[in-house]
Amino acid sequence: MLNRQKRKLLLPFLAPALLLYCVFFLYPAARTFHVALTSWNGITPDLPFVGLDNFRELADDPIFRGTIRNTAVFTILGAIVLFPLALFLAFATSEKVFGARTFRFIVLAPVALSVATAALLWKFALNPNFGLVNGLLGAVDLEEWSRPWLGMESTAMIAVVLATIWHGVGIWMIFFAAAISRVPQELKEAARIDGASSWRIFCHIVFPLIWDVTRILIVLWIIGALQAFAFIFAMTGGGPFNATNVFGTYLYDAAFVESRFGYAAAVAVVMFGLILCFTAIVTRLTRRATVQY
Amino acid sequence: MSRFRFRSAASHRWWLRWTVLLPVALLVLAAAVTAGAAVREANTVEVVTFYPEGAPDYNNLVAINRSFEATHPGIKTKTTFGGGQGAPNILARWRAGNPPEVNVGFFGRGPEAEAYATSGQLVDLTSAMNRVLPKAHGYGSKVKWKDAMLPAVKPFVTLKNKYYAVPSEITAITFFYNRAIFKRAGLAAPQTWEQFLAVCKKLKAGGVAPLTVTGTFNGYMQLYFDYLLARRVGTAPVLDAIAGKRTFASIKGVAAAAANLQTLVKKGYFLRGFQATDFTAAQLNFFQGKAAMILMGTWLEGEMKDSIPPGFELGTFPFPGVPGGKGNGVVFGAVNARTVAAKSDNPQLGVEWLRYSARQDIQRARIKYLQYISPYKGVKTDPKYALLQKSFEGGSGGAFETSYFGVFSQPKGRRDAYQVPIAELFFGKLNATQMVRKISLGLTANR
Repeated sequence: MLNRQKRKLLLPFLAPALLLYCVFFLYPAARTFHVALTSWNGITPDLPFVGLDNFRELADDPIFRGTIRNTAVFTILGAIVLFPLALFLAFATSEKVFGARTFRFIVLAPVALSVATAALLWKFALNPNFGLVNGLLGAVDLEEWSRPWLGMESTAMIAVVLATIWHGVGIWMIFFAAAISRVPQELKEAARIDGASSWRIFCHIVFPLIWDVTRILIVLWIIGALQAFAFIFAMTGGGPFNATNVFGTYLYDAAFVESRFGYAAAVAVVMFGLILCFTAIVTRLTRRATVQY
Repeated sequence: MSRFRFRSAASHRWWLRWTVLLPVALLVLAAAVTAGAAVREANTVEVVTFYPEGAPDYNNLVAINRSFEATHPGIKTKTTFGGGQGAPNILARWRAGNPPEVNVGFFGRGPEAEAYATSGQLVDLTSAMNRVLPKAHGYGSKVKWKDAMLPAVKPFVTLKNKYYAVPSEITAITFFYNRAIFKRAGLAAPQTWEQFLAVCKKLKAGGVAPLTVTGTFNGYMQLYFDYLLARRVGTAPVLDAIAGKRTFASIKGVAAAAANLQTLVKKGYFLRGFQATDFTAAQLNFFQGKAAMILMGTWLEGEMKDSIPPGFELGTFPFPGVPGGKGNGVVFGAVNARTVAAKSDNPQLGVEWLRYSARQDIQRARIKYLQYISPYKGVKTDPKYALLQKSFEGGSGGAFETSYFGVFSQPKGRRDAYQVPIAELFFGKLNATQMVRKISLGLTANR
């Protein structure tokens, strides 16, 4: 009786969500797949069918291959810097230390800035002629270290990654802090009584217990990093010489600069596939028995 | 375990009904709000500006709009930013069938730039252009709109003798210099390449960077090579090479032009850090006195109006000529144009707005405020542009050529084949010979 009633209820309750899902996700996604098979220029109403030509062109395009490499560098470099930093900040500010809350607020503050504002702020700070960074280097007699940070292939990506992390680390710190706060206090106290240092407590108690949250955050970072656009667009536009050109900027150029919406849709399809694959792989690789506490 | 059961069949139906009706009602509400945003009053003309709110050009357009409203009772205007990063919003509105009336761009040279006209999305302005302008416009009593424009403008606003755009200003690429720095160094504006190099040398020796350029946008670096090429070999052979009709490296004089460019780079005449300097910062560097010269469009003064220090003495001179050069009179530039979207709510009002903005008094006020070059006859520009304006009037000032050799309307492959090696020379990745070879191979491969 209950199951029958539940079954009866299933459809009407699911229908609105399904409708919204179809209208706002499935249809646009299907349409993107369709446009990817055309040479639509975004202007004319007709969508000339070109089959898989856009995908073939993508495969042959050295700039697109470069964007794959750049996106991977952005993702990996970002993760290497972001996760230890966010974990450290979260762990440090979760301890009862004087000024921890103020410090946490300071780290979190940049999140309140819009991406465009934060990117412009960094762009000005890194300006070779009137920027803060080169100015500081000059002030401490290290002028020979000053350089056009965003204008050199060797430093542009690092600068963009650091700016992105500066802007977002606060929110990742909060995620980790929330996870750390769920670790039973008595476990940490017991370890401390046994003479364990903070580092050992973190490595052997806290980190293993927040691993499930960490792996979800890693997946979220990968998804976000593969879609990176705003910071790079505002700071370097993908340059110099495509050194910071990632999927997002490449797609934007194809669509809005080149008016090649069919080709841009093909990039979006490839991006979609890659995000799915990477998410599945990382989820699989980081899976392990859940620790109950 | 708790059990869930409807109290009655009526209650069941009530739940079912509201579960379906509520989301549908929300969807309808959302659609109504969205559609409501798109519905405008029938007597409104929306004008797109290339510059954002607060910019001098934007302010000027707002002033024109106010004046239009005052002289057209019952008509309202709306100013919308649609240049640069605002452009995708306008593009999206065009695709959604809800474009503004008066737009920036959407017409130019090349198949892509002509697509809006050929697909019927632009209002054909030919009949309006053939109508005589009212005497109050200031051009006389029998002057047609099209005849009020300078002759050099026509190719930029027509396609197969039909008018699809209206010029808003002419932009020419020229050298701007800081007169105060030149005076202090005892220098005069150079006319030849040799004089130019001597000026650069003296400025650098005096501790001033001779030139500032943006390294984040290939087009501005390209301008130097464009002019050097034009001066040495003229424009026709280069245009042929870009179009794939001949080999770039085979043009006599190309190597010399490339060597000239390499000299500027090798001698360090560009402001340190130009590689990461965007065009606004490059312009700012110039007005802050960090560099003595900048090769830029005549939009410079209007664009940077609020950042120019009081008392700054701005001078101009044409790109220096070379002895025996085949294109010493060439002036690169473009005509900024406005178009009317055929699918906008009030296209005829859009045409009327453009016609109104052609008034000589409005043009004069615009040119005086922004220091642009007017595309209309009888609207004098600042004396520093006198020579340039002469060329647009069909005088002896030189030949007006599409800026950047029109490569922006070329497919990306061909554009990159030309632009990227030039940028690589600026960044010290290639020498002159390698740059010429790479451009040549790239253009051949992208025929």
